[in-house]
Amino acid sequence: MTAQISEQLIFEGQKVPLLTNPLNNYFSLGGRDPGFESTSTALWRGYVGTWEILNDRMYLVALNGTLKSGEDADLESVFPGFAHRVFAHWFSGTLRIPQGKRLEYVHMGYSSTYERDVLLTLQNGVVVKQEIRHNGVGDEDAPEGYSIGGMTTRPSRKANHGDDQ
Amino acid sequence: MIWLWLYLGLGLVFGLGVYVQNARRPKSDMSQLLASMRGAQSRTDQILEKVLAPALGSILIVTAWPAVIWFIYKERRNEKREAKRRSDAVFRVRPEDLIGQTTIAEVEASSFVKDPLNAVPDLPFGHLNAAWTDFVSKRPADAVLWSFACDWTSEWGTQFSRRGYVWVLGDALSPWMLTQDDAMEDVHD
Repeated sequence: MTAQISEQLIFEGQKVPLLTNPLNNYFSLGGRDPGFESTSTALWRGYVGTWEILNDRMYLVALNGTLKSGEDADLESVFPGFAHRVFAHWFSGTLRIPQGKRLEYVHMGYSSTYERDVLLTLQNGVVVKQEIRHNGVGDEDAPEGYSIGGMTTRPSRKANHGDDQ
Repeated sequence: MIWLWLYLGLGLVFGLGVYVQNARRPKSDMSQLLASMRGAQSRTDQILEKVLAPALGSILIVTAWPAVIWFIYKERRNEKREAKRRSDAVFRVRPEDLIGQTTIAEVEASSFVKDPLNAVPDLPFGHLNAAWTDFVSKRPADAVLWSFACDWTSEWGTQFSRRGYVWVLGDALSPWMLTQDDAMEDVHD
């Protein structure tokens, strides 16, 4: 499995990479999965969600991706009637936000390690604990921030339809 | 010397047993498929496959039959363990997981989700209301509602802490609905 494109989190006023997929929990609890199309080996889940921590509560505020039907996915593809903001009350667990230089690159999932991880523990969508885990000190020339090494992209069905026209 | 002949004799009997068992076993679809894909074999390959490999195998079985028995025993034990692991990995609610009997009205009254920004529907289980209504609609006749909680290990070895509701009718505990499915693992995944 290729290293995966991260989710996005608006946290303390900044947009940062989020190495947790809170929508997985929603789907595993029986939430409606509209069927996302994976167009890249670096995005097997087929979407990128933008989340926000606001007043210690986690919200999904944007969703970008492609559905198997070829249509663009947005928040209402999963949460009809909620076009702008969805309270993630289904999520209990830990969010991982990497910080600092990369210590080790692993071309699989979110397995690469970084100097620090901000770990937010949530209970039913509400932040109950925040801690920083120090994983080590990166080399001087080590890259800063989350990145992935490579991917293979496939044209989406929508693009294919476009080609046919 | 007689012990050596006895040892080899036992190996011969064991080898014959293995041969007969293999000859009786129907060829798998996969081996037939591979044979059809392979096409015509050269004479050398034919000699290797039909003569040399069976000869070496026979010698190994006759001379090292205790090791072969141990290997077969280990393989069968691993197969049984793997079958049990796969069976255990299929999630099901067990009688010991049940917590308490409840009702639809009680559950719905306690499952509304509040949000100051109104980013959740005013329905039982909020954004998961459709999963709840689907679960309620699948109630078997005369079944009663129970809550449950358990730890469960997936086929990939990940442990989850699970909670939810299940319809109980006699010994049957199904269908079920999850309200919590938390992975109990390190966040480096």
